Amino acid sequence: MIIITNMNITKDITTNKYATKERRVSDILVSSGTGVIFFGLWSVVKTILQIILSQQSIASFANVEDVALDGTFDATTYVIISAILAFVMLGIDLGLRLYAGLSARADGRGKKKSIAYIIVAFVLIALGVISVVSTIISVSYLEGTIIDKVVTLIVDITALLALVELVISGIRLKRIRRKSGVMPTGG
Amino acid sequence: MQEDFHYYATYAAAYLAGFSHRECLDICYSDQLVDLCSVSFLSDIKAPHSAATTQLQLELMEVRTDVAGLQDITRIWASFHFLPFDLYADPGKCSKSYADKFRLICNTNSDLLVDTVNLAKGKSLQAIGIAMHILADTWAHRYFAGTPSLVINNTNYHFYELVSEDDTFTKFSERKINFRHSTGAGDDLENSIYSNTIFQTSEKSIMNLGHGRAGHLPDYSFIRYKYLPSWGRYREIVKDNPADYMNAFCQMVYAMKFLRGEYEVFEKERYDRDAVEPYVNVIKTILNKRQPLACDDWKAFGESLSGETIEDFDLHKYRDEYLQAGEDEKDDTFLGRFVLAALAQKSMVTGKIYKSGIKLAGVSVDYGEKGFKGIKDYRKLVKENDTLRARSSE
Repeated sequence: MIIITNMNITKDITTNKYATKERRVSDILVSSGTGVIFFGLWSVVKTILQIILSQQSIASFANVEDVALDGTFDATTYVIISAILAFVMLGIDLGLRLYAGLSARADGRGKKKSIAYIIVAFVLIALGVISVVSTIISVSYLEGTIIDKVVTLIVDITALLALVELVISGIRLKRIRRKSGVMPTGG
Repeated sequence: MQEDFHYYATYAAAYLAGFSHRECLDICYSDQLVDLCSVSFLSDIKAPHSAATTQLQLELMEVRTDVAGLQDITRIWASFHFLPFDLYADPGKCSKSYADKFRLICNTNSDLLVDTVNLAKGKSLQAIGIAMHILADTWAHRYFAGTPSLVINNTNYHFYELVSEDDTFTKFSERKINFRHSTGAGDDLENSIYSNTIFQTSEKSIMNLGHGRAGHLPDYSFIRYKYLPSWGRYREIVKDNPADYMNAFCQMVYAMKFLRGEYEVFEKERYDRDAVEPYVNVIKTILNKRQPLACDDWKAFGESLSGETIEDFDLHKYRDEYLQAGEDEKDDTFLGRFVLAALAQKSMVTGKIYKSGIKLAGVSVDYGEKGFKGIKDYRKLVKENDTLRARSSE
């Protein structure tokens, strides 16, 4: 840390050699947390837009058009239940991303946070890797429109990188704080 | 800095350096005029626009931010208000564009400051006033650059005032500074709520010129604060204005003694604290007093030194003299001498910036080397140099 002054107050200001690093990593954590939130929101917006703009039916979205019905439910009920489940999954995904992103931002701003959000981010990374791999496979098998798949791939990879950055920064910040002995404020 | 320091404090420093009351008035008037000599003012008195030493807010709102416009902005602000510290500084691994802007960051006791003071040696009182303005501003405006640049001049939410817990000014507590964009509301000194320029993502926005992103804080003599400058890579800067302003005052006294002929050489890092010592408590009280403008206090101090009345600054005081003078006589008027000194200063700084490989202040030519080259306004400098050479050979 540079302290450039001409008066006595330099002697009274605590100089912490980790302060610069902590500020840098905190800033990155806040930025990556914001990115994770935005990608989570984007997933929801994208889904809604896909349904509205491509006039895709709820049934096809829930992938139940070709499912053979065994008679337990009628077709409509099956579609509704599946669609609800699909949106619930979407909601859970959004919820996890919001939790990870908001916690990362709070941790970066100095509020005390447990490592729970880092674990959640790890889970999201795992799911993200599966998603990316499946997209790559579908591209390589030329299923569907290539352009759509490539764009989806790019966005998914970027979202994944934001999560990775979040995890790395979160872990680094905790290490720096442990070494410097500076504890974040309660929050 | 503001009128309180540029006008009244400079008067006091000039008096302590040994100038007479009338000379002090000329010096401090020229010092303050640097903050007001805009293209609008020069148009009014039909003087060369190239002598502009500032750009008013209204002018900045309409200024072009294309290459030519940016160069004009940089020429003015880097020459008179944000004198670059090290035109050859090494900012580490970065693009040339970033490095050029980094090298324009202002700081105290630079080689350019020595050049500025030396340029005023043997010249008019107006030249001394301009040099003192620039010297004082290197203390107030340090760590900012006189070119619009987000990556150099931006600040963020990490901005804290260091408020003294008692009158000894040795123990400080931190208070978060909140910025708002409301020029009409003014700064709330008691609650640390200040105005600054709006955040603009555009790198070359006029909002990112100089210390706009830190608001008026560098110009308040009482304030101590810490923040993260954009160029600092997360390193924290602590700015102690009372100490910096005291240094500026002592350095002005020393510089003006040099300009008066008391010293052979102007050296960096020299301050005439002995001359200021009898008054240091009075000055510290003025500097630490929590007020937006300290004109009354500095005026009272200056008048107590000289026993004379310091007239208030009047921008149009010398207007008629200049307008009514013939073409051949204009350079001998008060404003004529100011114009010459401003042209010389701008030419010197712009030349140094250009020679260092930085094109942000535009192209600079040696106007008198082999016949006259360049903007015709600067032909006056060739004439002045010829006159000075003729006088010295006599």
